[in-house]
Amino acid sequence: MTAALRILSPGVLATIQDLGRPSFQHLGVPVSGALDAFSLRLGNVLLRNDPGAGALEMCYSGLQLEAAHGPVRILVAGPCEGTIEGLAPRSVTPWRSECLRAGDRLLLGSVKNASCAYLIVAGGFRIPLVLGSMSTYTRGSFGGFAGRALAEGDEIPTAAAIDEPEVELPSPPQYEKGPVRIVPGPQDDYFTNNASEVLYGERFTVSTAADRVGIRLDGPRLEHSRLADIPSDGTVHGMIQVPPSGQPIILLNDRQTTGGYPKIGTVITADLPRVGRLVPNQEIHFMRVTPAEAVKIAREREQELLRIIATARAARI
Amino acid sequence: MIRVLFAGDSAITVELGTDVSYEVSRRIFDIFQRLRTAPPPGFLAALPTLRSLTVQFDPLVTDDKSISAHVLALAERADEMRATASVRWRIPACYDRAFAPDLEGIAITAGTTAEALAELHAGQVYRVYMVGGFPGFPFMGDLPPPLQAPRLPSPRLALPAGSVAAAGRMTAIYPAATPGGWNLIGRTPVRLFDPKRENPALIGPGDEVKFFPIDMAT
Repeated sequence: MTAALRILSPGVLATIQDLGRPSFQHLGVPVSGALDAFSLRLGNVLLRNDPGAGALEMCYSGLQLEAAHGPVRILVAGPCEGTIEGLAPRSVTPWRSECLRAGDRLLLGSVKNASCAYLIVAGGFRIPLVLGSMSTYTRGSFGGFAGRALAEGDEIPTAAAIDEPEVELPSPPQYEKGPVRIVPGPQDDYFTNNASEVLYGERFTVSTAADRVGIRLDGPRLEHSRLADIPSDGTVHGMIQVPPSGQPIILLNDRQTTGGYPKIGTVITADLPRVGRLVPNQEIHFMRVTPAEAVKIAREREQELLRIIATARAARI
Repeated sequence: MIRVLFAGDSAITVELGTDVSYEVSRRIFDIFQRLRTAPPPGFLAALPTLRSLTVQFDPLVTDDKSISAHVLALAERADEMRATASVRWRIPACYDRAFAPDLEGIAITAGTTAEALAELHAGQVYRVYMVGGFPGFPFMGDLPPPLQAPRLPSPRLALPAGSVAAAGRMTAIYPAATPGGWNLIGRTPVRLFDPKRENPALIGPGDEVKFFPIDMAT
């Protein structure tokens, strides 16, 4: 049996993302994938999907859609609320699954205090993979739904819901609120000692130049100690690149695979989802950690994910 | 002198030289190929670039010490290895004035003609140092000195797909229409990148490329 989601209003930016395509970076293909892989994976597991299954990433605002041709089970993985219009109108809360009957409309409001939230579908989307992934790379016009952001009228085939009880989390997942942790390098030696003091001692503000490619930070500038130009090397998710202006940019999922500006540090794996969720005007500060400490934190965060999954229960009326 | 640099907790950048050269590039490519054919546990991806190799791994499975040790062992053997056979591509390029607006300017600076430069460009085998920046974008070198020119002071908003370009010691082909500051010296009808192909980029790192001139009609 088939089902589909028909887009009534796509919000600011809605794209299909999974965990990306890391195997083609040597050919200049960005990894792409979910800005917040933590919520994506958690939402997928709750609906018994593969943890890396494709979901609808909604940036800044939720979207409005209609279930077509058949029932669809969904779950909002992120801070975004709304309502269902149809035979059984009701409110929709994050982290609680709902079954949309054919003809039901799901109307989601803005994403609160985070840049994105995910609409997870039980059984996933039935769209072809490109280079092994369902992620959308809008700049290259490939992947996801027709290689682009969703638009009004788009109809995305999905698995049809089966008859099963709804699930929920008793409380939403918590994200670290303290400093964003960084491993220094690879080109921290291209910066003055003062730059390090500034990086770890001052506060920065997320500018309005924040998107899936990267986040530019307003605030103090980071001073180079030598020419801010290096033979291009590989980029990594979370690298903090500093061009001649001294204004740091945190590189995210759609970043170019190579770059010629020095990188003063790299955000640790455990803090990548948190950084992906940053919104303009949010203040952040950084703390340095060693790679060993960072790995320990990554493993702890993974344990936390498992702990949260274990709290899932049948949804209460 | 090899340097291993931390790129976060789940990647390392291994610098195999300070300068960009064929020799360094060959070693990078050798290591890259070997990592891909026999990946160590936790290996996720590797990115060969101008003078370094970035290796990404899963920090839940392995760590930088294990991955570094593995890569350094490969680097030691790279000197003893024969250069793995590269694929050599013959790429048609039209150097007609309509497709090569910057060629004349470079020629004047070099004290020669656009036609002579076109012949010079096509007379050389280039090594693909890396593919990056955009999907399928090959950075190839080294250009003979008369063809070496700085990037344009202001980039063009859109270079047509297939544009053959030059900047500094490198020559490249733009796989898709994108903004760019490289000098435009020709055009190729070849499609360099197609995400629907299993191997989406025609030209890969470590390959060799030689251009052959074609006329407008072709």
